[in-house]
Amino acid sequence: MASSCLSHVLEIEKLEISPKPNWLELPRDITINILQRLGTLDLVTSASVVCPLWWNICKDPLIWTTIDMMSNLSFSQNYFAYYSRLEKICLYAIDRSCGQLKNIHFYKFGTDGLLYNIAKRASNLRCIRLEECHEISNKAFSEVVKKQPLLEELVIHHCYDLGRTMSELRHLTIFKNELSNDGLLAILDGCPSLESLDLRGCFHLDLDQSLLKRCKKQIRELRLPADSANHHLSNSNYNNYLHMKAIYRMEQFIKRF
Amino acid sequence: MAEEVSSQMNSLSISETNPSSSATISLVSGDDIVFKVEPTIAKEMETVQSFIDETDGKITTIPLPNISSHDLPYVIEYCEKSIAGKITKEFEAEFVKKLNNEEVKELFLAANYLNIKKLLDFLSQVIADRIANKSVEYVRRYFGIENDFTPEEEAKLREELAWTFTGVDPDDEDEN
Repeated sequence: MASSCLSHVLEIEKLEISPKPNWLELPRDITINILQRLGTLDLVTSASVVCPLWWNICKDPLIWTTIDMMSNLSFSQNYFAYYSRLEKICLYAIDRSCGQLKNIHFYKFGTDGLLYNIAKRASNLRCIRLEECHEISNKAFSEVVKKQPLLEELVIHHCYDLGRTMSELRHLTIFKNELSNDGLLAILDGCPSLESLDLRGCFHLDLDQSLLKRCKKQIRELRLPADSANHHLSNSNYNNYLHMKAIYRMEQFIKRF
Repeated sequence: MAEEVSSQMNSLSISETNPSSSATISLVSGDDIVFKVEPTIAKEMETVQSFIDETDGKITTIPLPNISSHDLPYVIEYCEKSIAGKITKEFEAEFVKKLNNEEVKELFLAANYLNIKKLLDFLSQVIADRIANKSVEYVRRYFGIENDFTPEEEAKLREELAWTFTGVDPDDEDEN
């Protein structure tokens, strides 16, 4: 008995020793698991140009299913060049996703042009977060949303027209929006699958007893306009500085050519 | 045939006579330190559990030559918390605070080797956080990866990326 145990042990030992772990020998899906957690800017300006293997892995649309872009700058003349660059990087990422895009998170970023582009190329979105995206109009927003039958989560900070059916939508956050009572009723009617609704900061609402009752009946997780709102990104200025640095590095890289 | 029967009987008798003590699993690190763990911990480690299953539970000493006695306690700690359902943001933040870059990478490879999905996902995020907002050179150094693009490949990828980065402000005009 003992000897048979020992032979197993030895066999295991022989098979499994690999003294020098090499990151490039990891299974592809393990590397993808790390890379797909990076922000879009990091992917474009850093991870994808690390080595031929990673360049190749980054061709996989799976890496680009989430596009996460932020800019803390107002859309002013001074920063126009920087802003245009961010937008081009975003377009490049959309291109790479080959229609597999699932999540969009923009913070103080994005224009109508960009949204029309997304509307044209993405129809599998599960989550859209637009936080303080002042350059995006209602029209462009609707154009994207109406093409997303699978949309489950929506986070918006400003006044967009939501008066339409979104049958799969489960989570909705409307931050500091000028949403009216009629608008809220339209949402409740148009989104039968809604489980959580966050209305913090929507002070145009006048929640009377019947409307509140209706909300509570339909929504499992409800946050009311006056609930506390400590939601904001605290170090976005610093992030912004790092983003500018990343873009500068990329320019230097290309200019060396 | 005879051997099969006897091995079945053996595993039966073990589980009947002494269910608790037969259950303890010994994990042996690469530097030959033995860590005794409960079988529930071993279950979290798919690689270990499949060794145990393959031998019908007869083998309870598992050598883990790729994992050092420095890293194994971290892995065990995480698995214990995971079983207890106590993986919170606070625990993860404390856990990761103790680890330097080398340790994070070693633990990641250990989690991959032992096939512990939750730990692997968690450490993937930690690594992604640690290379976020860093230069290509930094990322290469972090992973010990050589820049082995051929000049042709490098020219090609510069070309592919160039449209993203040029032609948007007056500074670029003299280059176009």
